Amino acid sequence: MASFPAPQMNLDDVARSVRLEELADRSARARQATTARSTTASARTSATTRSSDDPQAALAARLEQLAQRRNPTASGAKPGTGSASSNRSKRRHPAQGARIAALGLSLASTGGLAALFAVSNPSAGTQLAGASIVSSAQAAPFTAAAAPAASRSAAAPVQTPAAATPAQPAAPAAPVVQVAEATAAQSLNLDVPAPAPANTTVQGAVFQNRWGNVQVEATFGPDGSLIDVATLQTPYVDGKSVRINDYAVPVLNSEALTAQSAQVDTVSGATYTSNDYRRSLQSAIDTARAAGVTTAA
Amino acid sequence: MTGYHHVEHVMGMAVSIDVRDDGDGASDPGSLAEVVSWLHHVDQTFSTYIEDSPITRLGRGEIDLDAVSDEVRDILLLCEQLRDDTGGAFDAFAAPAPNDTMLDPSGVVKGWSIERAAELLERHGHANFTINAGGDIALRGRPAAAAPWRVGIRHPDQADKMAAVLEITGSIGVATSATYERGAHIVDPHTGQPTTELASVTVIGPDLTLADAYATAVFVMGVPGLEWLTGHAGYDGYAITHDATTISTPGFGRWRVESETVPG
Repeated sequence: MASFPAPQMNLDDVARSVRLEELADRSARARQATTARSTTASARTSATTRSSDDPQAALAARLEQLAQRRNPTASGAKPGTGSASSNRSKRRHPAQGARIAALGLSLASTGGLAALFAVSNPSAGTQLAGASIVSSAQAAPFTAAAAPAASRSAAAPVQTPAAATPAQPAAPAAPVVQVAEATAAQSLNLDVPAPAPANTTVQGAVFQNRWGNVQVEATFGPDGSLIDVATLQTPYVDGKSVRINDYAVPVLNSEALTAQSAQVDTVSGATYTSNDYRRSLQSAIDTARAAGVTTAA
Repeated sequence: MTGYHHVEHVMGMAVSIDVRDDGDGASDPGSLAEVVSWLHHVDQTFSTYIEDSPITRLGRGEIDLDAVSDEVRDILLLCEQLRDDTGGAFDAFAAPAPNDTMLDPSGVVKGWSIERAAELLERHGHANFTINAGGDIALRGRPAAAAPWRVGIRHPDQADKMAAVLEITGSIGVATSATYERGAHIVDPHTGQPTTELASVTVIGPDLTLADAYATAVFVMGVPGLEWLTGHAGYDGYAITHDATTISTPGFGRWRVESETVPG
């Protein structure tokens, strides 16, 4: 394991890693939205439970609201309608508030989550011989700057030459730099002002985890703050599978799409209309079956 | 040979019924007639294209919940449960329906009606069949002794090719939500805008009703929707992004057959 060779990178690999980075980044952004959604849902559920334990009444209220929106004057004539609808709209406020709160909470807590992961999952990665995890004293400026970065993607360790970063007031070394689960590392597009001319770019040590090698390149601004991390190597499993998650469990599998021809009994796909069907593989299979052929494709 | 194969055009799509039982030789024409009649009943009841269907009238506020049948009420209650479960990614009240109302339970009606149709066939003693309704499939048993059903997942860009092949035996549902070349038309209830992250989502699990609804919800949620799906025991998902990457839940591999042909 100590003599693990650095993998050869070809253009396909680079293209794939770029694509996976984009995917992982999109995924992270969407995950925040999903978190907000779940919180909205639970707020909605609890609100519904508070006001009524009867899901049918809640449904009736929703239908009523629908009707009222279509025809405000007509539904106003119905006794009870107005109160049901206004209850409904009152219930929406806490849910919306919760959504905004959840978004804030999720932004605030991801850094903590990454740190937690570093502590709770120290065995997820192993060091290559000769490559050292950045030391806390040496990396003080990087550590401080990396905390928000790691909050987005469990940043891989970067060895920072002392000369590359001007001395900064020593910040307490957060464990977040040692997050080992840098899987398909994402490029970090930090929201910082355009970099000043005197940026410094350093390459991190090659770091090995369960799935392969990780190496990142960090760019520091003139004041020593981390402004970008780019991925130079990402882990693969036999050239096709790579973990796209950072610290999230469970793990999704990702690979390149291929087009196959094979004998099948039936085809799953979105053929919403009869016109879609006429052009579909399922239609060909049905025709073949009608003609007495066992399977087709 | 009492097996049969029939394609019924109903609910605006093709429903392929493929019964493989050779059983004890008794013929059973009644099961097909019953299934066909059931599918047309569902169409008349839940169609958002038919002017006087109960769903259209309910959506227009012409009738209320007390005036509809138990099955309509149960479907709408299921829609509300799914809305809570999916954090609003599935919402029957979110997007304009073809009948110009904001009530459209279609995302669950198709899977549910096919699952019920499969139960109908089972009550007639059939144990080995598939019903494929516009790409959503209820499977039972096997196609032949010792053989699994082989189910292709359509390639998003090549209608005559498959992105993956599954092998299935027993009682399983497979549903796919996709946009393909027709452009984005699945709406995110939170934004009212079409969702665009994924080209196709397939969900497999024990109940086609839920597999159908989950496929719609994951399509709206995007990649994180697959993580959400892993919280639903027995269900697995497979998504294809617009940049030709496939993403699947950890359990999806148990269904999947390794690619047998050269990528092309």
